[in-house]
Amino acid sequence: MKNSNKDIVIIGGGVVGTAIAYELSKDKSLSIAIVDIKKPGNATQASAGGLWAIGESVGLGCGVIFFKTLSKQRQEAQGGQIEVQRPHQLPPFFFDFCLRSNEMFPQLAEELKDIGGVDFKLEKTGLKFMMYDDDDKAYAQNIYDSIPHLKDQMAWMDREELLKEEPYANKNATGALTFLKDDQVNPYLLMNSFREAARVQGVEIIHAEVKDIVTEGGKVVGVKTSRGNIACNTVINSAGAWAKQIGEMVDVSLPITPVKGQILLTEKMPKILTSCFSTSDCYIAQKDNGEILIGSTTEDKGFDVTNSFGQLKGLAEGAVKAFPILKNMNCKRSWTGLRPGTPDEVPILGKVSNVDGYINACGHFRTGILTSAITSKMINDIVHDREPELDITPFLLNRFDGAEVKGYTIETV
Amino acid sequence: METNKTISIIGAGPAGLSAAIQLAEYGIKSTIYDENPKIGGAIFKQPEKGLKNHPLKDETTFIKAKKLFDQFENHKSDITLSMNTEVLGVFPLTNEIGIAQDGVFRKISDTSLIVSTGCYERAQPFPGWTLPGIMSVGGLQLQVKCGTVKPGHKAALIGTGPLLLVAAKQLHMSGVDVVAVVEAGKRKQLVSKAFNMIANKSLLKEGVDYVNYLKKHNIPMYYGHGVVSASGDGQVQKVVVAPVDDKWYPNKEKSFELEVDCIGIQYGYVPRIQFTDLLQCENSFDKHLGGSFPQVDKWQRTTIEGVYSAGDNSGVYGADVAMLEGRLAALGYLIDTRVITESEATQIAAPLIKEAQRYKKFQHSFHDFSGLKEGLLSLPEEDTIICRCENIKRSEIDRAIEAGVEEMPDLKINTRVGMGDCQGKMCGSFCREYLAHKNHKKEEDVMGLKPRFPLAPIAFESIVDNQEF
Repeated sequence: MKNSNKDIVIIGGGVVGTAIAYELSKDKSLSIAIVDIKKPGNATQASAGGLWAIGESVGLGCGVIFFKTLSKQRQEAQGGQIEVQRPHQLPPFFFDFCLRSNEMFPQLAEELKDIGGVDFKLEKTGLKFMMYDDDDKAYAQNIYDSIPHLKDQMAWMDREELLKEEPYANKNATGALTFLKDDQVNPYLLMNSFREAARVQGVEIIHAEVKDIVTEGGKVVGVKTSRGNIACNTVINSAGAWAKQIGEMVDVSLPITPVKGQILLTEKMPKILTSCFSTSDCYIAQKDNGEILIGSTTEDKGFDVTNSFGQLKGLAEGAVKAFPILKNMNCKRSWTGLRPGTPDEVPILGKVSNVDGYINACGHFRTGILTSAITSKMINDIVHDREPELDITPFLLNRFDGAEVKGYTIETV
Repeated sequence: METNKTISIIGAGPAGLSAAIQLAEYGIKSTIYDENPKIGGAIFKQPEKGLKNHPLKDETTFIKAKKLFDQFENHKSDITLSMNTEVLGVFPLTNEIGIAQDGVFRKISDTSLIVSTGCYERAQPFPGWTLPGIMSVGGLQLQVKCGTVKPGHKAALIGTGPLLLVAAKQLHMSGVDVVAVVEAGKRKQLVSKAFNMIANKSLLKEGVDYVNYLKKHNIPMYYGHGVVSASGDGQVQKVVVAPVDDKWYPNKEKSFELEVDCIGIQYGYVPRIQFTDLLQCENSFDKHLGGSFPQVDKWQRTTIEGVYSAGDNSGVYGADVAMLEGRLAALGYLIDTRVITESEATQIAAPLIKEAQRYKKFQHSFHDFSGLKEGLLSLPEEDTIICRCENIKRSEIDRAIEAGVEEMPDLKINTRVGMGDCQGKMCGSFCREYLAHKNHKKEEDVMGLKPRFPLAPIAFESIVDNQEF
């Protein structure tokens, strides 16, 4: 590739980078490139595709294993005495961020299909937290009570109601708490649909490794890649688990560390789940092609992307407990993704004080699919020097200023 | 390296059996894991009802197989067989390997490995290739070797390489009417290398015998021709073949039809490297030897300590070389565990290496003649299915390439190619060649598919109810 000129270079072509590219490309006066290289563990490609706005905000979905690990630790510390746990909830501004993004998907589905021709398979499934005992009930009750303003998006089900809707669920389940608007998409197709629409609108996609970000007098002037240099005045860092390394190129210190998640996949099956599920062991989602995805672990193993027996077994046991029919089905594949973890589980968005023309769009942890839509709108506003529709302050990197910043860490039992 | 480690051999084909025999000659016990019920691998597949009354019992392949099986019998007490066992994966963090015997999951750990998983046939998509009755040549051969079913009545063998001739003879001996052998390679190229073939007189004679067999039984042989398409109502009935140019693009104006009820297709082999990939062995690349395969030293050591690779999975040279490589790998293990010294091993290996060189030289003389050429990539039409597991058409792959896809993992994510049960064993090779060709890249620079645990599907039951897992 020869040296080229762009207004904006987006580093990282996962769901966040492509969503931003699409949104920015609506302004025909901008020339935009995505620079992306295939790395093992790319979180978009490892994702389950849940749009679990409330679920993820209250620590379900991906969060359950984290919660379980913590409970186990505490339980052991107290000699088996079970304490009613406060769910691992994120702050109210994060709820708003997730809910606002979730609302955008129905329209986005039509828009992206029209422009780029890719259908990302939005399915209205809802997310059910399946309960087996009093602890689960107490846990769910705590969630329910803590978000009174979202009561209309939640519904309780007893055993009979659950089994009527989900006849393959565990017959001994005591019921479920449903999050009515927590739906799902196909994560690969979502990324493709953003990328295709962006391409149609003129975005160039460059397969190359970013070697350096060039600045002059504290201002971004270009990007060096393995396939040539690109002059530009704005760089957006959406490099997922690798964002920290990109930030270092301009002395921006990002507390982002890879958080490993292992996932299991079944063979294709007839539709046996009408909604997505979370239990206190795992989440379970049947995708549009009939495969059932079971996720996911939360591990601090650096950039390692290998699978391990114990962790996969834990997921399999959780899934078979929830849906005993799975016992006779085949496991087809397993894989690993690296979530871009931040210390407070909140993304890092917006400008930084020390480099002009550099914008963060990273640290999306376990909600990159869900919050790609709102992220793209907010970043678009920032690029155009407009006030974003949600307050950017709690997402700015400077929230860590002064505090001793550590990467996201998982205490192992 | 610890000497108290065990040695496990993956695959009971020519390479794996030879390795076990070589080890047993030094009193070293080994365990062979293989997915089939009987030893022999694909090439030395044993008939269901024994060799005695089998129509092929005097055929060359069977004679070679019998010799190997006899050696195996002599050392049986040192070799443990774990048949019906699939290797499912590797867990590098705990240094464990997952296997399933009759569907029951088990782990093996603390073992050195001789990987002899062999190769499979490269799938060649063309219009109509998914019709019943169209198989790989190896698939056809397995049927006649097993001696249980006759694959059809009127067969055509199409593709390139000596296996076409072997299969034609075996099918004919089993009572199938072979209507044509269609070889893409040009006769003039074969003749030009004839001198090099003298390097291995026995193989040359074998080849000439096969050609003479075809002549004697009036089986037409078309050099410089290839498949174009196949058609039929629920079953293949006709196949269109045409002369090909130097790059194997068919000249469709000169095409003609053959009436058949079964076709064996054989355009190349692919080393079966999923297991060594999971072990994180580094690969090298040689298209003439099937593409990517683990890099090995002269003792068949891969880049991972304690892992040896022997046979067609480390470059496709066929059974004769595989047997020699199996022995070399075993010698490598014996050196590394200090059972013998390297100089002792070198002495033992010298004639083996020399013999392997003769076979290799012979095979290299076929590379111009039989090496796959880009015209094959032009065979599938827009609506031809490429990935049979996921029903992905060529047009979908074209669209992904147009969108900038350059690597196989990206093609997988974008189209679902390789996401099916076979994990891309079937279409992976064609797709990688196609990606390289369309993007004007070298095939070795296109990232291949990454295999995943489990390499074969496994029931959840055997994961959850298993203390081992």
